Amino acid sequence: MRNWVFFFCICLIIGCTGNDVNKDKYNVGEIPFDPIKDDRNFKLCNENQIKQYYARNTPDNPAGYKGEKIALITHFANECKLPKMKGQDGYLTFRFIVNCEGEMGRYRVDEMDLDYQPKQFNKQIVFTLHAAIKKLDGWIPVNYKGKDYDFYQYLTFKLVDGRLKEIMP
Amino acid sequence: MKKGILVLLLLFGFLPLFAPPNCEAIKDDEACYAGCQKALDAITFRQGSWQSQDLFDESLELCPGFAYSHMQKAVPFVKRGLFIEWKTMIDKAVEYDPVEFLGYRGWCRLQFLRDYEGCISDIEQLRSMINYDLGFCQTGDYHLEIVLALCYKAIGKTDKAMQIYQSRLDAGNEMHTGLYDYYHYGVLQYELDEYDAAFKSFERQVEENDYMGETYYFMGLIQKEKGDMKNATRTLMKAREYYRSGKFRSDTYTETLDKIYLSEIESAIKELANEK
Repeated sequence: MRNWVFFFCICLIIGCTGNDVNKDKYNVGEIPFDPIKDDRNFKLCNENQIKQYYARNTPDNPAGYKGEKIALITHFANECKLPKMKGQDGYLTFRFIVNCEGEMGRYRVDEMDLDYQPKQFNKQIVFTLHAAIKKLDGWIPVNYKGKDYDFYQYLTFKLVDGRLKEIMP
Repeated sequence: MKKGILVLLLLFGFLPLFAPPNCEAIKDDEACYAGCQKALDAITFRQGSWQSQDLFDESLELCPGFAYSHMQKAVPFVKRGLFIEWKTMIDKAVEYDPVEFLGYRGWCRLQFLRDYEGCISDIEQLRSMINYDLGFCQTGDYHLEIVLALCYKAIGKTDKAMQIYQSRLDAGNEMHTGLYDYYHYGVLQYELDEYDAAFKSFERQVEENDYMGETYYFMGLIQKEKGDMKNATRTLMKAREYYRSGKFRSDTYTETLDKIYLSEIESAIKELANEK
């Protein structure tokens, strides 16, 4: 009897870990929780159903930002007065998750030069942009059949001489 | 007829334009045939899933020069902001099949990274390798010549951009007119203060594809510039009405070029009202 209870408990635990039990393999761009890097207080609505920002297969409504992209552009223009810095050219990408309530977390930073090679930007630039991202408060989550979902988002900044030239996507 | 083409192009915008490979064509090469079959298996899984990526890896182990698998493996990386990885993979695809993938890589460099010079370089390299039409970009929105014009304008080479528009649009080459060509042509003319020519281009845009509030925004600005305040107000209101009803330029993955937003249209209306 005790063995059966043990077996039942094991099945229950496995069942509760969600669909993707093969956790030594990740989908492209997936950001699993890292206790060293990530804020424990940042909660997802469903770890197993994180959509991509571009998900828009009907009836999905894609993610967005209140006031459209121009609101983002204005935000970074106001928040990031970056001084001219020679050699600070390239692309700085912040990938993160926005939860179904529009909060952000699990940031990852990718840095590359204009030839798509890895590089390290001046720490002040990275810090300034990251701080500005953390102040964003207008995310509109992916919505499917009236329900909001967590989603992956990225913001890429094209920098020339340390100055912000473009924001993608 | 035009509407039919429009629907077709819009449809293409949401479909992968690279057809699955015809493995039978390489049946004589046993390893590559098996690699091709693996690629066919890979595309049955969700794009970017580990299952799909693993199968592309297996495909490339069997046939390292199979450009299609390099390209497909790269796609989710560019969509999800992992550009270093994307570039390494897409470079392999271009290395093994430059004619097939140079135009695609060039377009992605513009669409996802605003890498204007890189885009120009890829398309010009493609042109040097073929003796037929360059074709359209991945989304089907623009002919690659127009893509070049967009890039030249962005880096300040407006003369070059203008030459391309003139040769493609003014020469009556209507067979290849894209859905947004006259809009971008009009924006360039507007920015160069060529208001009459710009207005004509926007009128042509409305004839070709009347699904954008942005076109009316610029028409309204031109009317305002000419002192025709009554029509300017009416046209800007139309721009706002179009925009609010979902008639504006958008793309699944990235923001489009020469984009105008609802708040800009509303500001223009407000400014006009204040001037009256």
